[in-house]
Amino acid sequence: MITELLPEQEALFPVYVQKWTDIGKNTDRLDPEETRAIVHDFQEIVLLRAKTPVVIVENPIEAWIACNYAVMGHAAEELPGLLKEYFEAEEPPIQVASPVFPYQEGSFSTAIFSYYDYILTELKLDLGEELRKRYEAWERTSKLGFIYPLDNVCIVSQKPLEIHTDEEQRLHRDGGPALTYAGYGDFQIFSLHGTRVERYLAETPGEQLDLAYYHTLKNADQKAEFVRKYGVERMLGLGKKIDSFENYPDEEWWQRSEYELWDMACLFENVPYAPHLKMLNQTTKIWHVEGVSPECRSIPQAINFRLGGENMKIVDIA
Amino acid sequence: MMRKLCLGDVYLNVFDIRADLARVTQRHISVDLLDRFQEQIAETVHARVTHPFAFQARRLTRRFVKQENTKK
Repeated sequence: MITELLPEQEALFPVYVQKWTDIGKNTDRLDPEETRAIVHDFQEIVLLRAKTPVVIVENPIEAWIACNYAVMGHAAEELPGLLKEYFEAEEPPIQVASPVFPYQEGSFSTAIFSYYDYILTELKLDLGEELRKRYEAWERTSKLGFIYPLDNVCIVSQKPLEIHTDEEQRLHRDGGPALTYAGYGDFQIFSLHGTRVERYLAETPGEQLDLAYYHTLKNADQKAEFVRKYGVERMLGLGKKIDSFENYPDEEWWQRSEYELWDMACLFENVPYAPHLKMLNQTTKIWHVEGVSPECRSIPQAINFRLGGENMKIVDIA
Repeated sequence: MMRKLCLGDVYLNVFDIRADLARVTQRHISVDLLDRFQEQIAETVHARVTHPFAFQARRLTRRFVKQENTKK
């Protein structure tokens, strides 16, 4: 029984994290011959099924539409034409069922493979020939996109065309989609620092952002991304400071978070007073500006409001 | 639809491998170590890749189908 690691084995954790993160972010186009070989091994060795024709489509949306046609009895060779017909029709020619996912997501399933790759490679665990063969057939699917192994056909999605991340490896692109697939369905994911946002917030330059949009946002992370992009000082420059952490020298955590209470009534129509609490998130080190109750006239009242009416004193942040 | 697609069988067959792998690994490696591999390797990759990419791709696919079906 292995109960401890050598220091050099432990030092390799980040290497495996990086290896499988890179595989997850890989955007190489699929080679049809290699894809067929991987799928056929997966079908025969893992699923214990007969080999089927393999159809490669551009993205998970196309894959699901193709699944629907396949289940209706259409042959593999008909699927590309039917997809074209579906997406180019003015009205969808068929009613598509709610998506079901096989959770065989190829390059996106890398978390599980990183775990076993480390164990099998670094600890040289012997799985036995039969289990190793099954595992390796499964692991090879990490070269593909989403996989739908149906009885009569296996539908495989290409991987994304582009994946962009920030320095902390979070899905991120300021100015465009962070993740894009080719093909029909306009498959684009917009994300800023790991927070999914609408196209408008991702694509619009900060200096052109409309403050009215800020008020349509309900999600605190999206609001934080708006503020980060718009510029916290620029945003608050439109308001009036009501209270500041500087008035509470004994409150260590209020000093660290640099709490300020601002009246942002200028952003709203027919609202005489709209207090907002500005604070520096101690974990992410980004500025947040959050609306609080109009009854708040001071920082203690605003913090009390944020804590649901409780008078708690911050002693540490984990 | 799930039955017609036979995707449940796919899940079960892959689950069989995972169960066999778990049996072998737990026989030879302590649970504390396996927990560390899970937390420090697998969960980091999950947070960087599996969760953000796969979750969003599934979400977008569901949204697309929902929108399409309202057109009919």
